[in-house]
Amino acid sequence: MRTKLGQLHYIYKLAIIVVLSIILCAVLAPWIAPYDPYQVSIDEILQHCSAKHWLGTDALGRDLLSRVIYGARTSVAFAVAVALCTMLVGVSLGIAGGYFGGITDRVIQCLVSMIQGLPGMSMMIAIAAVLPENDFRLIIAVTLTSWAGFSRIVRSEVIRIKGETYVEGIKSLGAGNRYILKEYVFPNILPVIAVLLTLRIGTSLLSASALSYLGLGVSPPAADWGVMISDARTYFRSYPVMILAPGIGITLFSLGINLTGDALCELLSIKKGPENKEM
Amino acid sequence: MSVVGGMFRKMAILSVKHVCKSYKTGLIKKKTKIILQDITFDVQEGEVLGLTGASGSGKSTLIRCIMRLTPVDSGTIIMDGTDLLQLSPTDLRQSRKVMQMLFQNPASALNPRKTIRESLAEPILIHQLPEATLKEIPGILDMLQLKKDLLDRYPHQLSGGELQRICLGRLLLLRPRLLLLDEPTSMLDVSVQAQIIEIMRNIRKEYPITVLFVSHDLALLKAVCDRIGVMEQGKLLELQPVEELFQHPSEQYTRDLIRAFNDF
Repeated sequence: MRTKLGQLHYIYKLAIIVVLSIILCAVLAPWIAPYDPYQVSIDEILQHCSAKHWLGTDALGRDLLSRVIYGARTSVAFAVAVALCTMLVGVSLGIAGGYFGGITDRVIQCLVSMIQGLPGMSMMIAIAAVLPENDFRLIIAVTLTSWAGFSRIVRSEVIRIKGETYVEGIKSLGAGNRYILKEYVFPNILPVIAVLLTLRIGTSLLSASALSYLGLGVSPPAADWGVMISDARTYFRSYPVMILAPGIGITLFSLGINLTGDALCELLSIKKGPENKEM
Repeated sequence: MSVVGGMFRKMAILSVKHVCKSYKTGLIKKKTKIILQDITFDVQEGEVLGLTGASGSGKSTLIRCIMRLTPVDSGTIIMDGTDLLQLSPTDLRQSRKVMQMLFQNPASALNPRKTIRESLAEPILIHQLPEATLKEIPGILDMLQLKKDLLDRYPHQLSGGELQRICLGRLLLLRPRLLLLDEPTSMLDVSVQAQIIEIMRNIRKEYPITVLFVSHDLALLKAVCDRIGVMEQGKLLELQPVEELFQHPSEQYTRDLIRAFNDF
């Protein structure tokens, strides 16, 4: 029997609320941000928290709270885009390798081993550095270096499901590969994909922020949590809020999305054996 | 001659000839483990043919090979004059319509994400049978002594016996001519076993189905089969009519098996 939303552990419910709140902030940023995040004010540079500027201002006098709210927009959008691209590549190749096996699987596994054998962050930086400077380079760089793990997990799950009696049963009933993949394999790996996707959103946020911090992601003056941390690093001792605010945003979203993944896994998983033990 | 059903005619529906199957084992030093050795037999149309033997004797592998769920090394498997091993994937899917298999473990035989109604409708969808076939489902449920309110439940909400009957019903919608049963009652309790066997008898009164029945249970095979084959370590030692096998077994292994059965 499936777990219902109301039966989830309170920590999962809290995580879902946190993630939804951050997404809501990102969507409603123009309406809830108190100031224009790009508005430079020379008279108000590096101000501490006050009633006027709740989180203070940065080195160019921009309101930090507004930039954190707008930063959620850029950071979350990039993280979700990167995770979706990674999922698309990883799931397609994982299913192809796991289900069809043979030479297809050997070629894909060779590619996966090559990618996993290389240092991920260094490769990401190298790819981002050689690509033309635009918003897509970040997505391409992170996707190309992180689909392999995704693919390997999906492949092992597909191999497990392929060996289940119900797949053999439907095969012996006369179903073709397209039917089996659509009706049997994909729905049964969905909980795993949901968890991996949410985990990937968290790690993509960290990767995207890291690349932005290094100046290879979103370019200033865009309000992005990674860029904000990069801008604030020289003021860390005297104005810690400048780093802590976007840092807490990244931590909360990563943690929240990971726990949301676990909650999704519980919601999507169902029992296989009979509840009634009469056998 | 037939104990169950009365449609026994002397015509082979399935001919298995010189089928061999082996697996490679070992990571560094490869060894060949022989599973089936030169298996040859015919299944006559309308009969119930039993296959028995110890665990690991190759019974289940043999019927998996017949269904082409496991590839064979050599030999031919002819169904209605067509060598199943030479069929293309598309032709093989078509041939499944006339030849169906019932698996041992009913708990994992149905997709856990589909309701019983959806699972029962699958053969109709896959083989693009007329929608009127859907109307046969209530009749089949009656024949299988199942209530109609099971249709909207998921597999985990049913008992093992109910699930096995649902699996059987799903196969019967295709009106197969040959049914391969891989120990279909071994995971069920005795009363449910008896119920399944009774249902099988009733089905064979209505449809002239040929059955290849794999089981450890000699008593069960004796009750339902016309002929029984005994397998040991991948070889088909002997294949005889039931009375002949129990009265004049030609192999020592069969004599030991029957003695153990009588002692038990």
